[in-house]
Amino acid sequence: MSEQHSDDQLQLAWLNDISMGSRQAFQSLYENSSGKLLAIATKLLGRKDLAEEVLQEVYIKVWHNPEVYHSDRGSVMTWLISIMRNQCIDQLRHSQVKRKHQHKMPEPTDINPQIDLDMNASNQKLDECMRLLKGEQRHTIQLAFLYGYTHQEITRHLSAPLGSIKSWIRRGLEALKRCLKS
Amino acid sequence: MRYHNEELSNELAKHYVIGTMSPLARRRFKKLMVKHSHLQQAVWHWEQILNPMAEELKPITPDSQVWQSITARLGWNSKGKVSSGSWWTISGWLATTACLLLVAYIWMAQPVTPPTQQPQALAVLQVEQNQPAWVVQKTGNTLTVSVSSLPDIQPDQDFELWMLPANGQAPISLGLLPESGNKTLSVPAQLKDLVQSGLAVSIEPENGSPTGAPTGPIILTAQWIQITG
Repeated sequence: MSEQHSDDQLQLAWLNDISMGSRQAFQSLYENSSGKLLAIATKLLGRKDLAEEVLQEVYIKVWHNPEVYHSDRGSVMTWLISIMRNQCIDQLRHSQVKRKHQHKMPEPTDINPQIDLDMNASNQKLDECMRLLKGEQRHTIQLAFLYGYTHQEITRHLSAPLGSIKSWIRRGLEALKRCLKS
Repeated sequence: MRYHNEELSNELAKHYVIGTMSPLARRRFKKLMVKHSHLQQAVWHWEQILNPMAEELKPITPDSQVWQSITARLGWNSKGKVSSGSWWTISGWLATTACLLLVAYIWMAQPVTPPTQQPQALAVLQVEQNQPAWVVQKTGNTLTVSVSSLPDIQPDQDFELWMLPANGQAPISLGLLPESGNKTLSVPAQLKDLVQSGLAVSIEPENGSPTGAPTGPIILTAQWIQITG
């Protein structure tokens, strides 16, 4: 059994136990998954303190509503990432939240085959498919998905026309989907 | 129905998941997902394609206070123990205490009228330190809510007040909060442990959560201060 598959099974077992009220299972899931979720939120919100607040909300939701998960949604980790990303994007788009990115943004000239400077390359298939994308497709997908940039923000960041940005993202995502299926 | 078009569903789901939808389109799409299960399926499909990319980020260990805050909010810590979350600094608690004392003073300084029933508890709901958004007073099975400083909200959204049961069960809606003036909310008689529970406010679609559980961001949480037994 691969390490990833074993992790998926463990998380599923914990989630089942959480639905029965197990605090121990909740703590195990938190210890196992919170580091990844915090990395995602910190990248999106640009601030660790804000990211930690959202992290709290996500785990409170998980404790109250574990039954919302089911297998059509993919692994438990995929589900947790979706909750975390949705919460962060809602915050980013909320009028009260001002984006204050503290991290170094990747520059247009920094487009390289590596998915992102802070990434592991443990998912070989994904890494391979990202490498096969055109540089501008990979870069715009990263800016939108990992950094939470809107089309307009990417336009300003890359000094490229809005139509090109939309087209790079759309074609890049379809190419990624085809590659991952192959 | 346009939304049954597979190509359109795929495009919408893709943009929802990657996060490039405008705030208004995003809110509309969330509502549509409740009605059209194939949109939900399309979203899950794209989440399974894209989320592994986020999973590749190097983990960042949360501060130990995050776990303490979560357990405090779930009521797992000793009764009365204060959350030490990152957003509650010592100065924040001092400010809150001062605010509560002021509210209590104003309440106690009011002319004494023959009361039919004394308020039992107060809660100050504040989004930012030193800036109460609403003040809630519990008298019997009635909550009297007054607006102090309303947080920003879209025209098609409402603020909803939730009770967070101390036993960790799902939040229970106490009703929509007023956007001006005062409002009275009735508390179901079976919610006897209300003042032992936490409170939370979420931003919801107009007329409140469609699911009976918070669906929008939780903008604040608060605790009751008991005045009388």
